Amino acid sequence: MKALFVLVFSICFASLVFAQAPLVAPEGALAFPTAAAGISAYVKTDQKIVITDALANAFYKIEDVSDNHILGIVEVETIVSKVYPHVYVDTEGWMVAFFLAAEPPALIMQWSGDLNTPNAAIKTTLEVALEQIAKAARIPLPSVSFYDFNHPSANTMLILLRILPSPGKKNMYIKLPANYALYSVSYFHYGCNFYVWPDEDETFSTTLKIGGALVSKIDGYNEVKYNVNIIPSRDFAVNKLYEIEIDYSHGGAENGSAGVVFVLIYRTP
Amino acid sequence: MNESLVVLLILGVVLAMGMFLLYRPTSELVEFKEWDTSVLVKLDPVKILTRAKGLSVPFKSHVDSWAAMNLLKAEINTVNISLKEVFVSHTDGILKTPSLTLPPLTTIAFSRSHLFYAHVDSLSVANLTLPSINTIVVQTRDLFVSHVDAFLVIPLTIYAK
Repeated sequence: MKALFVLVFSICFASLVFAQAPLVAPEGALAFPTAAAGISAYVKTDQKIVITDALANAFYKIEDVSDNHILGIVEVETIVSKVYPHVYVDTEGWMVAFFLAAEPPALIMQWSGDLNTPNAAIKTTLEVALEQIAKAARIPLPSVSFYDFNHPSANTMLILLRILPSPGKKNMYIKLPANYALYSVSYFHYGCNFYVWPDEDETFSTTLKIGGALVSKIDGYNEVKYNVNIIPSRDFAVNKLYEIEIDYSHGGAENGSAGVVFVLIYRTP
Repeated sequence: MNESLVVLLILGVVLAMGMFLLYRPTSELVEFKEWDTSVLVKLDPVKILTRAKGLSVPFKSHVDSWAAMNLLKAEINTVNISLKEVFVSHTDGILKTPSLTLPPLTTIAFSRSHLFYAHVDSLSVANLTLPSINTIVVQTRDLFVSHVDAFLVIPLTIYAK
């Protein structure tokens, strides 16, 4: 019985270790880790990129280097959190910023402005990562394209944003037609509040519901907190109208905010 | 009369076929309302066929017996590279501090053709002396070196990739 347990445990552990596609390319293999990548922003520059110290130093962490490519993680700061997309650069001129297939695509949201008055504008953290690397490589960044290596049949990404700069409740709606193929739905939900003397009751609370069901609840005191998740495919289908509700409350002084972004990846006919 | 009829018939068939081929069912649009902002992004397929050339340098670092249980691949950090030589090192749960930045880097050894680097951190900077420096991985073209200090003066073993 003990031996069986050890065997099962070993198989599970080995499966866990080897489940993630490798990011390191042996010599002669394709340098870009297609099998591991998810939502991506990419450019192909007209000029060759030289892998210099300055370029390498723009990475937060380097995971693979060869004579003609470099792959690592770049730190991108938003007002809510820091995110760490992977970035691939090669001497042929390719630059790709991507989240891993297992990471929620909603990490793509570049929260901007300030936490008391956040911007209701959408820019992506992947574009910011590419800008940082292009600056270090001293090349102008061409127009950025997007692709989801995890869902190669998908042809559209929809990003929806709702901000609550003050306490309240908002209801939003999404419906995808029946003839669409839905591949991924994820959300990034945050809330915050800050202590301002002499107020004492500075706690905040924010909830996110889909169709009345609670999917995210955040409480805090004098801090920023967030949840980023992928919604299971069984909980979100085409040809059904979904009501998304975000609620935000806090005590004390009028500061802080909450917000949610939904990212849907699908194929239109 | 018959010829005209045949021509009209052929034209009619061609027209019908053309209309059939051009017909596309009206595509419904995704519905969304009450959001502050929305962006629709087209996803353009791409294939990146660049192949890795030369020595690919993944993580090469050391573990010691004390840290062997804690040092995971994900915790091993490449902290800098030079123009020609990749220098890699590690952080573990104990040493995962902001101290692994350029100012604490120390040149610790030379060979005929390569310059080797390793790191010191604020905790060990006073203790790092040459006899304590161990060569831990040798490859065809690159020699990686790292350090031990008084705190970690347990024999280093090669990190098994």
